[in-house]
Amino acid sequence: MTRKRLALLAVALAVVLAPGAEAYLKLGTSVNGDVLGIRWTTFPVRYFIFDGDDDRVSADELRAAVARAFTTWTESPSARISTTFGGFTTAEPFDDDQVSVIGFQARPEMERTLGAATFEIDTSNGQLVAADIFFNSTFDWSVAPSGESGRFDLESVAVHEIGHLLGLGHSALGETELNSSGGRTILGKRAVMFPIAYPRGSIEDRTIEADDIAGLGEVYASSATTRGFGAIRGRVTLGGEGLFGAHVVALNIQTGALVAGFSLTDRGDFVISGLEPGLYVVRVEPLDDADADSFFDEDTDVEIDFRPGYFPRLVGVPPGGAGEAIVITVAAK
Amino acid sequence: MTRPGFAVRAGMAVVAAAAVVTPAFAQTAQAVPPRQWEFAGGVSFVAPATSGTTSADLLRPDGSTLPLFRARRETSSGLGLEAHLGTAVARRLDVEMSGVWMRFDARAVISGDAEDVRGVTLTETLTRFSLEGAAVWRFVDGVRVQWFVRGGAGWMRELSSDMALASDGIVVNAGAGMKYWPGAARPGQGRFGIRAEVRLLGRRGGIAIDDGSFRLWPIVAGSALMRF
Repeated sequence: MTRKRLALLAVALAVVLAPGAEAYLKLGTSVNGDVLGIRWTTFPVRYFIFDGDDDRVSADELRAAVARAFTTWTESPSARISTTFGGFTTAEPFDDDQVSVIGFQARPEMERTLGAATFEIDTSNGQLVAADIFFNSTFDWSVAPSGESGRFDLESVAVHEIGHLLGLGHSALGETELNSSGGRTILGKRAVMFPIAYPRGSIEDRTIEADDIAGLGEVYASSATTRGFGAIRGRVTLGGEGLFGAHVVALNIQTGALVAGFSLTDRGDFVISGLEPGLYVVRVEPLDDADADSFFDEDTDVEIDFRPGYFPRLVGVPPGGAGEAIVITVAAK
Repeated sequence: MTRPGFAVRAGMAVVAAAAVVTPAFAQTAQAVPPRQWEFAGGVSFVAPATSGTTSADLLRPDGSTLPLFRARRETSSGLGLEAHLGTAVARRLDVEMSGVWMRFDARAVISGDAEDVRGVTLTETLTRFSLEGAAVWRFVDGVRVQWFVRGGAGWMRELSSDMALASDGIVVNAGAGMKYWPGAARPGQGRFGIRAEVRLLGRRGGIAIDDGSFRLWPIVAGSALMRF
């Protein structure tokens, strides 16, 4: 079996899967010229915890935090997935051992990376063999129930990385501003899978949001879990031409749920699925709140030179389908 | 009125009471008049309404909200067509079946955009069909003028403009009005008349155009009447 390791860093690499099929970014890998989605096909997903302590967090505390983070995802109503703890191991994350390992590693050279997920994939058929997660012990971590000032919440970051482990890419549902050190300061977000974590002390990322739930539903869609949900499909155009990489946000006007996606073809096609039936406001904005390569391949040309705007009508989303395709026209800056 | 079942229960209580009374009324020596039916067809107007604001909230690191934008929910005024078919089940009590078709706009008025997009109003035209049963109590039962109160309930379906989104729910109505029979010389005479009424419409279910709480919409309706 030929295997390769695909690294997914918190601020680095994501691969757009199956352009135009759906708008939520999912992880994919190229197999014989085709892009296949990274997803688990057998459950429960079995994982092990590296038996090495951080300065402040024991391996058992890590196990408990990871277990809570897995439960957050497995209780999502949008997919039927399950996981099981296999035990502690001396194998470290990132070993090519066909075992999914989660643990701490000191990676001082990755000065902006709290954690990362990597995958072992059978390149002959795209089957996911194993996935590892590491948490960078260069940072100060906390497992305190209410968070701890000055320390990153381990459970929150675990929820994000486990989202990757399950096949989700990054969401752009957030607002940031550039800070003096050249990085970005998060102003607010509404998706655990936003690529930039909340600052030290925050525990807000322990809870997955509507956007995360919809994304998981896209990766593990089944008739049982998608029956009651609908979609919005359409195109984003600029000057009559399709626009790639526009961030499309849908707001349910009754519940306030926010779910977003991207236009993922040169025609500007997008589909936002996993939506509760109802009426939606649809807003389009450029991808300018995080580096584009947090979402797409470095070679991908993402158009950001346009003004945010709204589709001029409320959009009805029926259960189990979509209404008429909409065309959202945006203006250049 | 905050309890949608109230009007229905009240109406049923009146019907039940009438059923008890009717046999005694029939024991008189008078001949039972032939059953008369009334058909009313006309138009209705629903007033515009606002139903709160939905905020597209991001969450700041401390858990407080950062609105991406806000959407004030409104419904426009609407015009409808309605038809009622009724008959008397007691001296002052009628029952009727009603069908109503109405069209109106759901609106979201956008404000407070985080990236200063100018305010815009988004609309979607909705259509509502309803089938209702109602009890009509004629509390003033003159020869030409009848004043009545009416309570009813029924099923509705609301549709988006592209017909893709369809959602069912219930409607309840309570109101009052007047019937005028210009050609009547005795009670029950007069083949043609007019009917005007005001109602409060409550709905539950249907397309989510508000926060899901029970709301009342004022409706004014006018119909042409025919007895047969």
